[in-house]
Amino acid sequence: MNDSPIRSPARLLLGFALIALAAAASMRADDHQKCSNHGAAGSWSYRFSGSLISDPNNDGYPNDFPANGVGTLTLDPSGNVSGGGPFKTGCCLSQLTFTGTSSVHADCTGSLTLEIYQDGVDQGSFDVDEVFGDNANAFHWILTDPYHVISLDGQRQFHN
Amino acid sequence: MKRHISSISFAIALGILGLAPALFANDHHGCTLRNVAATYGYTVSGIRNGIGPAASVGSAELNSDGTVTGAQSASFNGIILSETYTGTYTVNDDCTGTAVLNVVSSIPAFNRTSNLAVVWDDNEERFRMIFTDGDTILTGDAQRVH
Repeated sequence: MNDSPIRSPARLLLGFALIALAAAASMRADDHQKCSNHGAAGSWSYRFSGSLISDPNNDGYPNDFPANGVGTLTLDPSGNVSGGGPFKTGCCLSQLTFTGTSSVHADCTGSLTLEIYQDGVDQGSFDVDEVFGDNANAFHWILTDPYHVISLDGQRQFHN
Repeated sequence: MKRHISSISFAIALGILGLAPALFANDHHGCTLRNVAATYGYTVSGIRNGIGPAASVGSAELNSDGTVTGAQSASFNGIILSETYTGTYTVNDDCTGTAVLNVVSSIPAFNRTSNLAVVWDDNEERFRMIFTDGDTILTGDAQRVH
């Protein structure tokens, strides 16, 4: 009876330790199930490039001006997103910031709705389609609003 | 003997309990000059206002003291250039940063100072950049050579 695990403090502690390790490993595995709002949570960096259509009523070409930028963003496990960085259109440099919500599906596609600000001025609400890659350490976006031809690549700042 | 085995079990348990938090330790990082210092290969593409489409490929050595040296081949509207540069860069804890590069071109008319905003990602293995000078609409991607 003296060998009973319940009566051995050291074995009891070892049992708790193994359970803790299994739980930790399991939670870590959940992080790697990646294509969910929880799995996508973290700090990311991005670069985008493309064009903005300057006159929606003009079918001619060229009828656009280039737009690009880099920046960082944070996704939280509830699907809230915020971020920003420098943005160039034509001649001009400005600061882009955005907040919004993200919905990530198990098939690694998703969508976002972003409220975008340029130098603090609200530019409105924009829709984005997204797909994740590289074990959810990378994402690719496209703006789906008319008169925008913008795609964006993002990469997790740190991953295991 | 039992006491010896209990001591070993106790030590193993403490070791495992110490390991569990370490599984989460990588969730908190910051970028530093020391950690991003390396040689990177990169491409840049876009437009230089008044010149036309522009692209370059090269390598940049970022040193831990905040200095940069590099060399690149560039095409400005089809004019092929061989260029070197020196400069400085900064990096912030949130993995954003800046760089100022003094570029010496094989055609002296293209000598210039370039200003960049930079973001690192992928465990500081890569960075993305945008030129912030008024006459440029240029972005690029860089990745460590080793």
